[in-house]
Amino acid sequence: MHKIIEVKDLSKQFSGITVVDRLSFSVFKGDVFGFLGQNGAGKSTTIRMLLTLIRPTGGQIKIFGKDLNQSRNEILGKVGAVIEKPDLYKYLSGLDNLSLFARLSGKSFTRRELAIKLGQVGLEDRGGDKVRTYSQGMKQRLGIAVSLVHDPDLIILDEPTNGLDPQGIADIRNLIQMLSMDQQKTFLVSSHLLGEMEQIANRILIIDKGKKIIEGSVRELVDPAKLVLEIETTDNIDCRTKLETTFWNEHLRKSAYSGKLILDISRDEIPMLVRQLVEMDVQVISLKPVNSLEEYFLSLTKEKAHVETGTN
Amino acid sequence: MWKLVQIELFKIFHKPRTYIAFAAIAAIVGLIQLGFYVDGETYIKFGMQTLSDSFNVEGKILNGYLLAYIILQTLLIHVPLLIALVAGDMISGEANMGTLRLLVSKPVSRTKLIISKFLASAVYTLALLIWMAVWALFLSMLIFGADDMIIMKSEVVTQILQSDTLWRYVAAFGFAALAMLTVASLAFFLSIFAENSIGPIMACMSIIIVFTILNTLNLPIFNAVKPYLFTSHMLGWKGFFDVQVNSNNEQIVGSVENLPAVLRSAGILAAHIVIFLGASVYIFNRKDILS
Repeated sequence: MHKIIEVKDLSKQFSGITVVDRLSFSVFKGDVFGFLGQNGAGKSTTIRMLLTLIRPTGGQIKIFGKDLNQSRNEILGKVGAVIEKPDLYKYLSGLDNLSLFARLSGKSFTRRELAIKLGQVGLEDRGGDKVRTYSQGMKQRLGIAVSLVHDPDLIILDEPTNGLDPQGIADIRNLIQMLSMDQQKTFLVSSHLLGEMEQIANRILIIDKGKKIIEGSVRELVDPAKLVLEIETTDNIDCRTKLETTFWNEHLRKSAYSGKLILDISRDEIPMLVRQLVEMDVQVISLKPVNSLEEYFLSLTKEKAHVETGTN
Repeated sequence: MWKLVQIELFKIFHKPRTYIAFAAIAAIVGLIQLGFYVDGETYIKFGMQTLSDSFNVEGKILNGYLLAYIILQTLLIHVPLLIALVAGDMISGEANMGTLRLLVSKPVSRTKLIISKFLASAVYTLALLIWMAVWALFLSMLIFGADDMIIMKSEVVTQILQSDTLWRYVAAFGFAALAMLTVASLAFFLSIFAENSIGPIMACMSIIIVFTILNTLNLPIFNAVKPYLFTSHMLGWKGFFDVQVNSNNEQIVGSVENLPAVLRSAGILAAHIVIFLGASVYIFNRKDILS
């Protein structure tokens, strides 16, 4: 497969403190690559190094097969990005911002063309308004429009759904999927919304304290057949006591706090569990599958197990 | 590069704070003109008292040229603040808004970016001085008329012929532009280190104030450095109003008494601009953008 980003032994130290530690990963053409890690894990520093905002202390970055140091302008001309918050010129209109950043990327558009591009993110009616009048969600949408305005091949989005309402999140998700599938655009998306990432990313990288924990395809890393199930009943303590006397005791998490009932279970076992709960006269309020990627992410970052998969 | 300068100018002239300086200059010059229009003759009579006792002074002493000289002398002390207001915001303002990271991640070299930003602040500085010239010189000439210009400097009285004055103003404003560009380059340089514009503006003004104080202190320890301080040369424009005289003590039209000193001052200011801009490019190219 054609590599779009190839990072090798990338490191960054600030005043002797290692923020990114010999990080290596690859992003392939057409990937929606999820970049995960807790706050302070080194995600933003890595993204800033990919965009030449920060100089690496060591290592190499190749984008589109070319060394980032040597072909900076050529590479960045084909990259769009939203870095952390989509901060734009508040005293300018949305259209002016879009036009300005398009020109900086070497592209020129008519107002009509720009309005169509704003329409892609649902801002067609507000293009003439000053950005200072925009809500956080609208700024986020405009930031994404700015990252796409020059038709880049690689789009780097840092927390792209921050501040968006559920409809906005769904719109951005659909936009990413559409651009990835129809136009073979490559995305590197950092997010803490693991459920979102699970829905859009085909490959993920999890880092912790600047080090890679794991990299691979979502399908490889997360077994969709295995679930973590949270049960809410009218009396959770009574339900736990009853479950402990049954076969389900092995599946019941002992460490669950505040009376929560959490079971490690396979998808096929759910009907059997429901039947048994009814037979035990347990008044069930809800059965909620906890997101599996989130569960996986938490278990990895808690254990701090630095495992390498065979994908790199 | 021109495209980048255009973008920067677009941003500067869409920012409300840019117009504070233009409004401030118009207001101050307007006030001075109003004051002289109402009470100028009394002021001139008082100033000319000793001269009138010995000489018969004819013509319109309070004219547009004299007023422009007074305004220029007064305002050029305060204009640096107005210049720093925009130049000190060029990088730090972008860092504060969060747009710097987006700007630097575009396919434009940092050197070009910084030079275009400086050129845009230079255009703003020149626009401000042209604005000042229009108000201070041309409007004053319109209100107070034009005549020979009489300047009193401690014990010397210089009378410059009307026909010999306008070019001196053009040269003086050109020199003032160089002085203000030096201030702009200093504020611009300082803005690289900050993430809000208050710091560079305050630091720039503090440096100017400290250097000006050093200039006024006649102490041997400071005398050695004075020739190298840019503030020592910022009022060099006045040199264009010192006229050379011949052996019969007659003025030589079109002459400047000490042109080499004026040119030397201009050279020192230009050197400061080059140093500040060069340092800005060097440091910005090596800076991690963390804002």
